[in-house]
Amino acid sequence: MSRLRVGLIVNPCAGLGGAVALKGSDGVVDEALARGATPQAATRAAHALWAMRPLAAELALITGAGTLGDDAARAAGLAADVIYEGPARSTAKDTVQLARRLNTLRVDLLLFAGGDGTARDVADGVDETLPVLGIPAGVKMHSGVFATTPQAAGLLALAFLQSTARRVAPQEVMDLDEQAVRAGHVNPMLYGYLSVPEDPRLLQGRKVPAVAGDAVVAEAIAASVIEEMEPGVVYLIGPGSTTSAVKRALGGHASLLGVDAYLDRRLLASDATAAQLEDLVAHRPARALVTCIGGQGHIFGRGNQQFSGAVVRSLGRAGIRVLATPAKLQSLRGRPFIADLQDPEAASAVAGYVEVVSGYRSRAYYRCEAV
Amino acid sequence: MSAGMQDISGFRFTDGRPNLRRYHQARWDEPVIFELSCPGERGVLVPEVEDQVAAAAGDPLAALPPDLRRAEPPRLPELSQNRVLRHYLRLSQQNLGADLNVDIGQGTCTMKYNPKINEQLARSPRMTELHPLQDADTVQGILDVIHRMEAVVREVSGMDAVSLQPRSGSHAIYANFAILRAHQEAAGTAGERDEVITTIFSHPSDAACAKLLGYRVITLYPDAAGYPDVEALRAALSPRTAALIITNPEDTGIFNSRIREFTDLVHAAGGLCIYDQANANGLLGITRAREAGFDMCHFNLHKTFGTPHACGGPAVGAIAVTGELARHLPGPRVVADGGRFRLEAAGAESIGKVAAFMGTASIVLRAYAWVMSLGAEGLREVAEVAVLNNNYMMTELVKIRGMSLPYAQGRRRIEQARYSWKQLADETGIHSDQIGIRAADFGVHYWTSHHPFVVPEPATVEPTESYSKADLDEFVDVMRQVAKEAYENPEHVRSAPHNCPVHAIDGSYFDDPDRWAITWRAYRRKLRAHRAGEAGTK
Repeated sequence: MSRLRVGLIVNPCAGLGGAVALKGSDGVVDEALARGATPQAATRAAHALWAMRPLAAELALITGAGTLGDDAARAAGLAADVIYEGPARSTAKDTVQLARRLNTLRVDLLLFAGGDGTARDVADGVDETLPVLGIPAGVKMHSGVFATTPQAAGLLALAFLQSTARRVAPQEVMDLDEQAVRAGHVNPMLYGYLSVPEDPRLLQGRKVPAVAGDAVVAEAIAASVIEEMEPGVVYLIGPGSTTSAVKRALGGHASLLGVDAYLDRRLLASDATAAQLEDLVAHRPARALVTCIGGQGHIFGRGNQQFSGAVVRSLGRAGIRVLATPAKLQSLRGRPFIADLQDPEAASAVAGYVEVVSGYRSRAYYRCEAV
Repeated sequence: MSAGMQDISGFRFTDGRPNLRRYHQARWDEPVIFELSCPGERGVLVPEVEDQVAAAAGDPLAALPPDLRRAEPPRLPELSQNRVLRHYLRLSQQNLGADLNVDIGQGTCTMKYNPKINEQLARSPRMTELHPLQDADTVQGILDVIHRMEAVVREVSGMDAVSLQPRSGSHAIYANFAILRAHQEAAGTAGERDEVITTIFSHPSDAACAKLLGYRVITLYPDAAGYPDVEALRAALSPRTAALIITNPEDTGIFNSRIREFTDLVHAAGGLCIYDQANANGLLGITRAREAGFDMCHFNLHKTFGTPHACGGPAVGAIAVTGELARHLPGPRVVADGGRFRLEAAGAESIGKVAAFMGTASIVLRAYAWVMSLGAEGLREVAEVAVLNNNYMMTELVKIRGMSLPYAQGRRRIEQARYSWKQLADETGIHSDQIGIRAADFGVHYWTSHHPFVVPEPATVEPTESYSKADLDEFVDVMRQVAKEAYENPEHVRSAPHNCPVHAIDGSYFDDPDRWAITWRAYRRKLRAHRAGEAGTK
């Protein structure tokens, strides 16, 4: 039996800025250490690895030297293959480098311990098909790539590696501009996507097994949306794992992270700016297809700022469809959608119950609040 | 050493309370019955056909069109009677059967006790020797029972007409949607009204059956308090609304006291209202579908009316409708005619047959016997005791560390409740399904919830009226013990079951149509395809 190859990246600086109120750790490592921060990421990574010990005999752990992963592996009592030697104090570049090498090795799963910044660096180093799972160890964790706890990360990794299906779903990598946050501005960006193992517990009960994973549901949503597209109407399709299923099905050179406009099921404009969108909605009947950020519920203002107040005002609530799988709606735990538009008129236009496409010929109406 | 006599009284109790059961399941490592087959072995030797009979009957296959004939006989297993008996008895010992355990952990299933005398009635030759093709004049007894049971369902629902033909709960939901479609075709709204509204806590079959009949489905999510969101309903209603189908109380056990507002809104928008009352165990004699404003409803006789769940059937899903919709009910119908009963064929506007003959007559007989043994007052008492049991359990279960009862804080539940182990999962890494597997070591069933898990780490518990306070306490004790273990020795829970023969099952098979198989033939076919695929990739 071939061994299960698991890549491990620990960002030793992750989480340093949190307890000392620096709202992140990008570029402030020295200050954080000076303020008395203690590194937590290795311990959290070891907790995750500890949970994976039932597979220890079959596990081939591949990582970087010292604080980049080997220390955490030793702490969990696991031997690791060290394929990368970084400097004494590693930086984001080392995360990217190690991720790139693990990507080339096509490990069965890449585990990383860090926060949103680490997730960005990992996303820089791997392609979007490599299974990646985040061990939560950072200050900010807005991305959908993290398990709820280090132990949960280990158990999910265990379940994923043992499963014969090995189902993954694309999850958002989000990050804030930390300097801006420190200055009091929140401007989160959608940075990319990683393929993350699906937690079957979010999807199914024993009585009625779920045939489809979330990726399949996204395809069903896309089929339904495309079936109902009206001629002569411009569809402005935002970024997101669910909306990108529509873009894939329609074809053309769509952008993964941008807003693309379609007319009569053909690509009209790729990666459109707010000004372009404003122009489009001024001249034709239009609808926006957006998704919500899992767990948080933003439908505007996170990674799709191209939908300006002016565009949303013009569309109105009736012109907006949110594409979201039932699992994604469930991840909101009853919280409403959030439209972060910084435009009171647009906010009141969208607040209320918005239409959600949640499956093939399946919809919901879900409350949206404007901020 | 003197030959003493041990006092064994009280061995199984601690401080007057029964200890947790040290249950251990049998393990037989039994092959699949097809693999036990021995060519030529027979359970029953059928007498040779006498020449005269054969000559008179001719070739019995001659009447069958050639393309309906098998090229070769079916590959059924060949076994003697005693080997068949041993095989199934062994399998039954590896099962946590309904009569073997405190079966209240399977909330929404309504696992009440099925009195054995009703089994005896249904298995008496007076029932089993009936044939559905007999002349109605010779089966007056069972037609009388069906007619009377329809009257019971009319009274319990407040509806005007009933059919007992559908063979399961989901079948009944399907039949009600077929009636909806027939109604729309008669009214000329079939094309324009094509949307069905339901809630996320209603049974998944409600949405699924609507889809099967071509409707689009709109799902309402709960408001912050856990009730179906009436504002979301207002947003969803339109000239395209065909119907609302809803459960009440929902799977959370929360009763929506604004239900009349829901049905009024739907009627005002031109839609019909269907009540999924599969489980009406907390409502018998207390509230009725009619007064809540519904046009149709259904009951699972195996939930609400005390008949066995069996193994996915045979069952009956009783449907009940208003007078206006009665002409669409399936046929034939039993009609009383001057003290006699006759069968009236389905009319032109009927949805036709949904099952062969009259459905499952022996289940109707069991349900009728159950109702008659209780009487009207007894039916109401069933509901009252089921609700009392549930609310007693609730107060005990929420005391357990790591368990909570989301939504509608401070409000009682009806006949079941959906709990959450989220706190326990966060603190110990043990998930709800693992708790259920460990609970099997103590000889009790346990179930989480339908997907998706709207309530995180869910557990659904429904004690029904059948179980005593001691039974309820035993179940609570098992939950308390497993939660304690999760905090003190999570590995012991994670590695469960310790006393059952089947351990971790790879659930991914359930999700993969290329690998799941519910028949031996399908299994062999898919295995061949799978191997061919593997060989192809090497």
